[in-house]
Amino acid sequence: MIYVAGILCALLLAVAAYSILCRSILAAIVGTSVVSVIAAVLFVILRAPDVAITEAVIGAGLVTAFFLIAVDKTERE
Amino acid sequence: MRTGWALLFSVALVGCGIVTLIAGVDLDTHGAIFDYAHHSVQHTGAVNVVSAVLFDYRGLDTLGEATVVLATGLVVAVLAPKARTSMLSVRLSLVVLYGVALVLPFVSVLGFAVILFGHVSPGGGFTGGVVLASTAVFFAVVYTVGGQQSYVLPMDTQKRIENAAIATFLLVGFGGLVTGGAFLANAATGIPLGEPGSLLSAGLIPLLNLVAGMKVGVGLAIVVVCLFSE
Amino acid sequence: MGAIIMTTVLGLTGIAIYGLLTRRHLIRLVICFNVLEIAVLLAIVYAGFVEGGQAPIVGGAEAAYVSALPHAVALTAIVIAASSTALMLAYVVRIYRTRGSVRIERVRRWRG
Repeated sequence: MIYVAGILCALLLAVAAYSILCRSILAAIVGTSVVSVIAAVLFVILRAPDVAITEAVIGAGLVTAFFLIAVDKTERE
Repeated sequence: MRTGWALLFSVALVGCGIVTLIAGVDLDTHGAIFDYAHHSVQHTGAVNVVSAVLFDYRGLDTLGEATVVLATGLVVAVLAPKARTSMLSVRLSLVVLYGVALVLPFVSVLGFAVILFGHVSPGGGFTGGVVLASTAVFFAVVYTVGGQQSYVLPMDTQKRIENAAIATFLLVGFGGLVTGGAFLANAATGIPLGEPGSLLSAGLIPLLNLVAGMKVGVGLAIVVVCLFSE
Repeated sequence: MGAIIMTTVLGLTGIAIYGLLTRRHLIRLVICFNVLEIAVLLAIVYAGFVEGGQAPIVGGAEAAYVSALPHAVALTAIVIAASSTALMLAYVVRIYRTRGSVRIERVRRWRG
């Protein structure tokens, strides 16, 4: 289980760095969604099921929808 | 700020943290946190300890969080007046329309099930509430065409549900003051705690779960709809 | 497990603060706030972790449970983070409508 946690943490750092440093804003939003989902899996490994379900629904559903609505209403630079 | 200085600052910050970890600073709490898990069944009757902490031991913090969601709804409604048309001007394909129409009732049932069984299985008021808010997002994005908005419930009903939810929370709290002795008291008001593990147990916690779930779900749905139709 | 998780938390915090200081697109700043929020949540949930403990749902047998107080704090923090992200994005859209751009260097005006 500790190897799974280690691999997921490394992936988390890589996707967060990509989402901040990449050029396109849509790729950054998808990266944020992936970061939320990996964090939800880490919460399950840390024995927190309530927090994991809530983080998965909010991260992959609501916050990504907010970002996409905001990107559509401002011009894509 | 230029890249070089920003990189130096962040590396210095992370370095301080790593030095703290390596130096072996004691991060353990040594049992200073009250052991909620071993006392929750006899104090509150709830099997899910997180729901017991959120709605019985620390109910006042949940009231503060409900106030934050209410305040966010108010500010977004001022910042994003409903004056413009929607995003999509072309209908999505039939697969999307019918697929979402098939899935939405099941997602709503899942949301209500997670709320109502909040004191028995993992989940609770907040989890079910955000699942219900995501159905509002589905509905608004998929079924809004041209200049016509579509919500799961009409906007007036949503506002009334949110107001009723927070009014019920406060009434339950003051009811605890009237009968038992503390604001938002659960077992002290004399409510029978029931058999732990069944649906009708844990005193006031199922009611508070439902109220918090409705509050958070409808509050976030109002925020999404205001942002969407801005 | 503790060293891995705390190193990840520190790394995420460093990445988010670097992004907050150098990026110029307003929506990317909101993304950095989100990443910072997730790092803090990981630290809070790890603070209550007990090695070999179970999830905090009382099963019946006497066993070691993970502490439930950080989970309640984390649930509250997740909902408040979603609300504040929505608020920040409403501000970004309002700035775009009044100033006409989303990049910081074209939005800042020192006079008026």
